[in-house]
Amino acid sequence: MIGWWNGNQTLVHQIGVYAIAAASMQIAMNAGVFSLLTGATWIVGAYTAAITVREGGNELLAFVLAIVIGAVSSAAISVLTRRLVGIGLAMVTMSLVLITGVILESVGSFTGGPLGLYGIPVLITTRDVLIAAGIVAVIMTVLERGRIGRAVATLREDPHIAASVGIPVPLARHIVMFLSGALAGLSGALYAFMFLTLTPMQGGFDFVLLLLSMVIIGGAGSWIGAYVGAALLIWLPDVSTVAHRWDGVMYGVILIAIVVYAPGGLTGIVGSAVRKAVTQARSIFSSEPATTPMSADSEA
Amino acid sequence: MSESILALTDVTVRYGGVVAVDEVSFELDNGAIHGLVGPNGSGKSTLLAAVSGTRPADGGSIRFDGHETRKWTPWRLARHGLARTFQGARVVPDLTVRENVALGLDWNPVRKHGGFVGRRARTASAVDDALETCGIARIADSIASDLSYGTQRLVEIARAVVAQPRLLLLDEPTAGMNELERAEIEAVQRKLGANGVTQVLVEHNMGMVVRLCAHVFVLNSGKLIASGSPNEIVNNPDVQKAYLGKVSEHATAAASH
Repeated sequence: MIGWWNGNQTLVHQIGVYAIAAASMQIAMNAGVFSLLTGATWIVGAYTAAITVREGGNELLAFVLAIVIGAVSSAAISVLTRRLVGIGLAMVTMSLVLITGVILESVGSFTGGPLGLYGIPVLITTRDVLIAAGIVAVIMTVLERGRIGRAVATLREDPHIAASVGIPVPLARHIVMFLSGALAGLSGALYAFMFLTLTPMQGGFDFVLLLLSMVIIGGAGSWIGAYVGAALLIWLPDVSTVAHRWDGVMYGVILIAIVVYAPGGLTGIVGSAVRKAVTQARSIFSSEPATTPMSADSEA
Repeated sequence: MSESILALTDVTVRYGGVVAVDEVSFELDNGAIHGLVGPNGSGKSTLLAAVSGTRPADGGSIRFDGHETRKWTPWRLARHGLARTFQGARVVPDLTVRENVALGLDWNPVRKHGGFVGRRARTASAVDDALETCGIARIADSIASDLSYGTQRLVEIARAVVAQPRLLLLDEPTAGMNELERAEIEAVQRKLGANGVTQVLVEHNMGMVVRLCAHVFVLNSGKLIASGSPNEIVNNPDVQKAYLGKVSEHATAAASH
């Protein structure tokens, strides 16, 4: 176990970083906001952390700035794009991701130009990444429960219902994007302090596509889906040399299978199995016969 | 006498060049059930949208609970005690019945008395009351998308009434339902009426309107063409003409021969 741990710290670190980044995308999707902005806020967070340390700031300041700048810029974009939904929002945010890369490339010595930043000091351990991923998991769990969880589900399914029960729909979306940006900034900073180099296009199309695949494969309904998807897509190419050569094909096949056969992702499969078991247990143990149309469904 | 919960003055809604609601004025009687009827395209749903803030009116005045609310957002109106249901059952499919109903209370300060402590218990008991009123307590833990259309409508009504609204707008609550389900909705509306909830019912079934409503407003081509008790409305020649159209013209023509 210890031997495995020592040999695979980078892998675990990478999974932690990607899990938080995927959660940043998942939290938006789950609320019905089809934003791909995470690519931009992630790379901005990573650059912010690295530059803060380069300019003499300590690591705590670096993390705070990365998170705050990620959150605020994400919320600001959310306000500017408030009239957009669905594919229109996806396209505009994807353009912003690409523009961010170009800007980082062109600013000059401050961001390191096309070569990016290198020689960033290692300031964190894998344990720190796991602690961060754990804290994020706890916060996300709290947010998915109770009235906040219900509000998020309603925003996703039907904004008209949300408005009719008193939820200020635009503000709620801005808050979701604020949190999404904070997570992206955190993930970017964790990446910078472990992998030591950053290039302007690292948050670009490939990165966004990878996060999107993680969320779809794991399931967009919960942060658990983002974590599972991240673990799977980072770990799979690592365990198989065949997969390493064919990883693009493999992602594609898995993605198609999930979208066609399990739109709720891997966590969706587990979730519906649990739900079915609970319903059956209830109908067995309850004194009154179940009157829901559900019972007809589960007998079929 | 206290001020009417909802008073409309010259409310106008335009879609491009089309005037969907044309200077409509009326007041509601507090605590009564009102019918809003008219042929398809007469502007009933648009008027409801204007009152509930989803499509703000272009002109006139809407006074709700003593406030000028023509430019209010839907969520602000909801938090002030205006509840509505939609055409077609609209529930959140992934949530249980109980969760769907709790939604109506979650972000609504009308019922927020007491502090944070005990809020969960208060929510639970209010949700139980609403489920009981609507006769769906037995299916409280079912997932909403597994329910029949008629039952989903009852969930929607429970969600609308759980926060004890000052005004409830129901947009064709029995469209596409059988007689049994229609009777259930009627029974729920009577109970709410007995509790003093002012209601506006948009409905095509005149039998239901006559049975339930104390007062009926008739729209045609965006204009208010009649207003009165159900019996007055049914016997009003303008209303008959609007509803029966050419048939009544034929009848007139036949009579003059």
